[in-house]
Amino acid sequence: MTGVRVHGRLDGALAWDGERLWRDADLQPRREWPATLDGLAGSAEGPPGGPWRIARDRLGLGKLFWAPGSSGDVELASLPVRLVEQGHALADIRAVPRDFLSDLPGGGPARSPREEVERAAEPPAAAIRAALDAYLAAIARAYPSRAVYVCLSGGLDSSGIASLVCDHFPAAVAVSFELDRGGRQSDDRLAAERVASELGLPLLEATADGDELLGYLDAVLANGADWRDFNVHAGLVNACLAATIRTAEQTPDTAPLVFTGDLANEFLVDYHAETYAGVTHYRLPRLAPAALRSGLVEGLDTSHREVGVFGGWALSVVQPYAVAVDAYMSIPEQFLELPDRKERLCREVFGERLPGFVYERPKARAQTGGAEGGGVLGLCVDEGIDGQWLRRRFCKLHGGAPEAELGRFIRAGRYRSAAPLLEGDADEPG
Amino acid sequence: MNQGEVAGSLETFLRESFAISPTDPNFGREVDLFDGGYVDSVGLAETLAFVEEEFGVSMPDDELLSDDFATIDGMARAVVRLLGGS
Repeated sequence: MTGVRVHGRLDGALAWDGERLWRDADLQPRREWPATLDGLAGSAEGPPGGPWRIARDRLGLGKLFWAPGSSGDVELASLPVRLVEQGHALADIRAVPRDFLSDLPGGGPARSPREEVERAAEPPAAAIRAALDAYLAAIARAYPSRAVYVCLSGGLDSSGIASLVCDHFPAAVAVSFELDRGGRQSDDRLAAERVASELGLPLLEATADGDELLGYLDAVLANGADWRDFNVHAGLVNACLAATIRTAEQTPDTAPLVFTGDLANEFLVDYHAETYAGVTHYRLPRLAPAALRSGLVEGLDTSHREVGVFGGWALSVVQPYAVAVDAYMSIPEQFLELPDRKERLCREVFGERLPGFVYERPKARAQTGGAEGGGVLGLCVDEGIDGQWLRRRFCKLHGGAPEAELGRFIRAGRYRSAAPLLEGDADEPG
Repeated sequence: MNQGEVAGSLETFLRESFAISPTDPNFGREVDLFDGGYVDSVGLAETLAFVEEEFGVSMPDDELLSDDFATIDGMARAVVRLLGGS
């Protein structure tokens, strides 16, 4: 008999359908289907003999990879490296497509093709705030005694989430990253201290020197399921945050919840290239803002730099902005061209909940962190850890895969994907 | 629009956008653009935007992630298929 075999810890579900939270227990086979799967879902639920319900969220924040087993099974994991450990070549591994919902065997629900989000006349700040509050309130009800952390850089995105987390989780702790390269305290750390103080949040400091941070590289490449420098650098920051939380939190039986301010940069096209030692890094496609936004959001299918990296320390990441994706995608194109678009929108979404200085602060990227010496980017460049090094190391960690395979595994921000089917299951999945 | 015309248009775009020398002996319509280092992930995003604007087609994942989509001729075949040409 064929079946589904899961290797390692899956990302699980903290999914949102606009009204209610869908956890793993809600995504059992032959039960009702959620109308949409926003938030996080990377799950495979079902009894040992099947059937199984396979679910992956709309943006692809939860990852699910699969390879065909030798006896017609589907072997599933949240990381490709887990399937490589089972003897599969990287070339044989596919991602479950994002926005996937299906029972194996049995197929998926009848679903209409998703329509293009209508553009709003003005940014829908109230809808964004309502979605964020509803999602956080539902999580607070579902996990009343879970330890809660919120990553805080002192920028607008993380400070906004921190302010709402304060309202819904009174015992939350903020955690702030800093790379110690022997200089002064980073602007991020100073800003995080100030925001935490004003919000009344205790602050946990995650500080690493260069050697300590680079010691996380293999974990980030494996748990991040990606080798591209921007994502690896962000993953290193997250690894330091995760390791610090795990050290502070001595409750191995439950996974603390870690809230982050990710995704607002994709939704508002708030990225730019960085220059270090005269070389440009993190180059972006030369596209109009609306097209670039589409590309960045599509690209969320790839890289497990948040959920996967924190998962490596048995922590559950929550990215609340995900549940407001339709509201963000309805933002008119002209608004995306405004240099102060994020400040304007955050003022409407968070208002006076945020300290005034946060609105005035120049943007600092987590990887560079406003630190002297180029932050994590500078550290990696100085140590010769460039794109080629990362590709080679990723291949080595994935069974010695040929480097040419990488271009087929991730292309244009998408993992090579296919719907998993059990041998003999001819039903078309949803 | 036939495959040759699409391929020609793509080749012109790629040569101009990514500063590929007209005398580069290794470049051609059957060359793997990624293995050859002519197009990286950022360049591919720009190429997809060009395809969408120029030919009015949005590339589905199965075409995008196929081995065939690594060359100019392969991309042209995909565009023609989506245009209903074959």
